[in-house]
Amino acid sequence: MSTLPSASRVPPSPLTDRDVQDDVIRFLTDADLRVQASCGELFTQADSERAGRFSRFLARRYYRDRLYRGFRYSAALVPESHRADQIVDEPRFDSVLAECDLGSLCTAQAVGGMAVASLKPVRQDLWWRELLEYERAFFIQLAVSEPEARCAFPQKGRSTLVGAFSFRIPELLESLRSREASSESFQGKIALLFSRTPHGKIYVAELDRAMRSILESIDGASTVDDIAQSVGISPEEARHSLSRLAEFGAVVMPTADH
Amino acid sequence: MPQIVQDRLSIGTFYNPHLAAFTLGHPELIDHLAMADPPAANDQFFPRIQQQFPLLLHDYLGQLSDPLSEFALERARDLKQRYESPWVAEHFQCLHTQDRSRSLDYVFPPLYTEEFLQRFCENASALRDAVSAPLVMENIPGFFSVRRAQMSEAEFLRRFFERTDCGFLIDVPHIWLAAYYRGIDPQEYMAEFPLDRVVEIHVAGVEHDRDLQGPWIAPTAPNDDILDLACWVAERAPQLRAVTVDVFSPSVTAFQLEDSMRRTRRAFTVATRAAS
Repeated sequence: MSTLPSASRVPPSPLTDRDVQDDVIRFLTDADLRVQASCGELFTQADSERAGRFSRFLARRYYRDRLYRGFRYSAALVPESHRADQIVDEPRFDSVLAECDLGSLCTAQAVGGMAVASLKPVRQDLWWRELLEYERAFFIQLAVSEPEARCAFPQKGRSTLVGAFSFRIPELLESLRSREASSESFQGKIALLFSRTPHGKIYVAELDRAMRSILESIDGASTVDDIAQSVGISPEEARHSLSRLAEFGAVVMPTADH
Repeated sequence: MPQIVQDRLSIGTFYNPHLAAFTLGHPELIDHLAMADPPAANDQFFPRIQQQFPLLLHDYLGQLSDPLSEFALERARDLKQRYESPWVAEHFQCLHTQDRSRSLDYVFPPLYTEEFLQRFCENASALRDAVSAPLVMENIPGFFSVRRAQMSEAEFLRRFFERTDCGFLIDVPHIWLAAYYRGIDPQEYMAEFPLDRVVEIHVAGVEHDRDLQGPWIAPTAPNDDILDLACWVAERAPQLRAVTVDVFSPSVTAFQLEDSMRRTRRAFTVATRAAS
């Protein structure tokens, strides 16, 4: 590690030290930034290289943790070497590390897809693929930490997902928790909503047809009245339903200044 | 609720909910538990845990480089009251941006500058006042340097503790790593650290990391180097109350925890005997 420069050698900057710390955090979390931006003002060349290594450490650790928590049901059903969190140690994960935008939806989708592709061939049970899709959706909620953009109209949360399953997933999970041998008897259609609040609380909830219609009519450019009209309910009912969805983090409502 | 022992050093660890049964069954190994997360609502063991062990609040309360929100202060107050913690811990860290659009999701030190010193002093005092309890602050290692830094970690910490009168939670593996990556002896690295302020010591394991191409913190048992260094610190820390084995991970096993506790207790027993 290089020695720290003395204060007198640091050129004056309009940025506060807190702003500079933000630049360091952005450098560590955004691979594009590391490639595009000159970091000579932040680090010496040697420390820049070390910071790059630290960013790989952070990303590998972050996704290992989220995969471990997100794919815990499948982990109990496969050999340890096939668990989802093991992919972070495989050579193919290097491509994720090279392009990682830590906590972004884009990187979470890439990592989730990689985990599902790795696990799919491991078992042949009818419900196996649906379990993996459930875990992928749950993992996305754990792995996305980007804040929501301010909006003028109701919009879906960045990580909000609706999964249509042909197995009754809650019962399947209960069966797996109690380690019952057969889970083939749980066929039946169900729609599940996956969402997370700004404080990181994750919800998985069964979605009825009315709520699903409301969610599907949200396009980021429609008012509450438009949504109500599209679904065929009163604006009051639409507002109430949207507020409920907003409590789950599934919908972001317009901010006061819009 | 039990209080932390007064007549000797308390040696404990973190509460790992998946090891609750093991923890309850080994009071001879564990004197106290640090709480990194609140217990889950369905944690059937926690009421007994709380009856059996003194608890130390070691949650993420907020990064003290920035003012804490009223929500964060209220949460800290509630947790402190719930655990009846004798002191409250936070870290010298700054891991998310001011607009909260980016987070490292991992401990990360601030720039050691006058501006950050002022920020930490103000915000730590506000937290301490809010919880009405002593605040101890934990050191965080850096893996690389940033040009903007104006002082050493030791100077930053020393001046912080002088100005706030907070306690020092010294994480010995963090010190060991900081010294390692500067290529100097850890005792030499600690020469300017305010060890007279130490209230609690953390010990933990270190392992080689492929990305860092060197050692880093790992959920493994503390090795002899770390334990020897921790005992060396303890001999210079007249206010020391507790040693905590810093393992908090769903992957840690009962065997690993038992091994860590036995090694730590043995090291401090030997050190205490040698000193008396």
